[in-house]
Amino acid sequence: MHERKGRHVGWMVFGWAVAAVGCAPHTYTHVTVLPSLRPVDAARPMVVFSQVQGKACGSDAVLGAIRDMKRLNDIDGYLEVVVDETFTRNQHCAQATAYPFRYGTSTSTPVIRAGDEGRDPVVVPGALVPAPVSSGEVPPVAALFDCSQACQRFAPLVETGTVKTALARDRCEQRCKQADVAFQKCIERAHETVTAKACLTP
Amino acid sequence: MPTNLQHKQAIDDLLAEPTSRPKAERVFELAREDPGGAQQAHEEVAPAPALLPLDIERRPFRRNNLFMSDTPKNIAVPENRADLVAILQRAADAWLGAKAIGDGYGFANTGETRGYLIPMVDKLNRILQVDRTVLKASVDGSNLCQFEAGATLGNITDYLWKRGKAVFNQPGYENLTFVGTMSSGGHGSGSWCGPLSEHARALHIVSVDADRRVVEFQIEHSDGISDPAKFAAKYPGIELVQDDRVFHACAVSMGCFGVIYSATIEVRDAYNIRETRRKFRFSEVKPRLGELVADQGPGKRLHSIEVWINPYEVDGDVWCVLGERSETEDPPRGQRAFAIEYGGPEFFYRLLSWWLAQEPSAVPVIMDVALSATQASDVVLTAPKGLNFGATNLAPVTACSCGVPSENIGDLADDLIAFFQRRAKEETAYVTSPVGLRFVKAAKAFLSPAFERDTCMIEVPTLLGTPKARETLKAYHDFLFEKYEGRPHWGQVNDMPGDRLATLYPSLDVFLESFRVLNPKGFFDNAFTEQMGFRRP
Repeated sequence: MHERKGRHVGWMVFGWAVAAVGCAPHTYTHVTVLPSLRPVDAARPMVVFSQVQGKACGSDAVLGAIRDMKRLNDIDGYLEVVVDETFTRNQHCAQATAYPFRYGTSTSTPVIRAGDEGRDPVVVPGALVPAPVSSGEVPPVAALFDCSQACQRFAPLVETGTVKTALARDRCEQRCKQADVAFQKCIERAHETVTAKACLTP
Repeated sequence: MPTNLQHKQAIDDLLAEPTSRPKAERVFELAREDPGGAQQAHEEVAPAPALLPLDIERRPFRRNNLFMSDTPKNIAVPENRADLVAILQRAADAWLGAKAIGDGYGFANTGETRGYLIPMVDKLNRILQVDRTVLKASVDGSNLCQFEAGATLGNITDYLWKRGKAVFNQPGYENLTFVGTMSSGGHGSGSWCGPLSEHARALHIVSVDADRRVVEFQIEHSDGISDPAKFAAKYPGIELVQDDRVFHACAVSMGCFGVIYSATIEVRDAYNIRETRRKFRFSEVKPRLGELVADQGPGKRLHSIEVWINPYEVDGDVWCVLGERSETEDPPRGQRAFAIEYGGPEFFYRLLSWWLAQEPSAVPVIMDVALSATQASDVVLTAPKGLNFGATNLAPVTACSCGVPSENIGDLADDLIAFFQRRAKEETAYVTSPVGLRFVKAAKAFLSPAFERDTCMIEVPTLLGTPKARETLKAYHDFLFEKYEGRPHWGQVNDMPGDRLATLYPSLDVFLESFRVLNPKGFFDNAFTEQMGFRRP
């Protein structure tokens, strides 16, 4: 896993290569290389994760392989896509390989999706535009409390061991997200075990 | 932002004139402006289609009762713990999910995976030595038994019997793995004794953390058997977690938290079982049920009972066989009835299949004859044999089971009998095996069907090929859910929608806490977790 900033990738398919050499008679392969599966905003920072691969055989092998490969949630797309098709007398198989990426700088591991792709529409935000300069007449909106960050700092104060700390963090986040303002203030102020544990009393 | 009415109007207009380009443009224009609203409006008019179907090859996979529409990408058989760790790391590196199964005897979708399928029974089936050097001084190691997750009930009880020991209770089939059965809420019979999860004292789980690293935990009760300092010194690579909330989540977790490598359970001294099975009118057994359930347990007359009911009338009555078991020091003697000892699949299945096809209304009398053939009195068996269902395990069935409160079970059974009779009369949909009542003590595992209530598990095995079997099992589940808060057995056929979970399991939130922590990135998610909505926001 590593970060790439300002990466230059176009959204159009820019090329494909064909290798028609097979190991055995009646077998040949066809390789297609694409910069990405959907348009990429090269101006935005992104995190690129390790390769993911999908496979399928049948008339719709390429579509099936890509659908199989797209099994990660919380990412924005796939880069350096290689589709390797194999044709034999009776079978057409495809293997799609790509690097998943996410805009921003969070290296949090994507979640594997167990089921099929969702049917809900996906909203793709446009490129970021600079925030308008405040005229001073409208008060700025208060920043939302960052439960994730606060709980990450809070959990080790009340528990030890990775599982118990993770549980403490999860419980903290669940409560924090309920907009429990007193709790939010408490965990923000807590900097050692005694004051942190005091936050856990109902 | 377009309103729901505008969306619907545009959809209706296009439906009325599907060749009109302007009307199509209107639908798409509104959808572009408000994708969520468009989706909702379309769903309200008619459910959206699933993903576009692709013409790709599917190679179905079957292992005993486990069936998947597509073969997993890898089937990996670990030989030891290090192997298991390496397999899971390979899966994680390739962004592939993983699922461990016993031998695939479950009827549910809990073992499904598109990634790595890990059958545990083939190699990881050893009985291990309990490491007494890390136990607390107060713990009696002589009544503990540790084994790898692929060890079957048969492996475990054989090992224990030779050492004068036995499990407290067991399910009725020796080829089930203890861990697989426990993980899906499995149980034996006995109102004094909880399901298998309640006998576990430690679970060694291998999982994948948020950074895709394989990690190992030993999960125990808050006052667990291990001494934390000794354990940490001897096993630095395994994190000891002594926490009831985590333990009761893991004990019945359907493989959603990782792979259980080994379990340590509490066992007892060996014992024999005296068994009597007699046929009665159900109306004769019903008023005795309360007393029979109360009279089970150490120091009482009975070890357990089972009631197998033919829900259809024969000679104007509903009949059942009451099996009574008690502990005894008598040596084994006698023989179980023909239908239990030898009455497995062939003759009964073929007979019933023929009659189902030719004349379904004969099913009640054929079941009656079969039930009658299970009777025998005063047979003494070793506990592993006495708690086993016998050759009937070999019948080719699909099964489902549902846990209901054991209070007033007689009235509930009457209601259920009427339900099955209605389905037979109105839809010619029969169950083709007797319906079983088995009693289990309340459990602490959050997702156990017996969670916090003394439970009667009502089992409905149905012979394969029975017409409308799946519909009957689903209707049976729905009936028990709606009227009696019936909870499905996770290892058997289970079509329950996930939105019922919160109603049935009051500690679901605590279970989900451990799910998020121990399986943070979904490597152990599958069709079952999707069905239950464990990862739904």
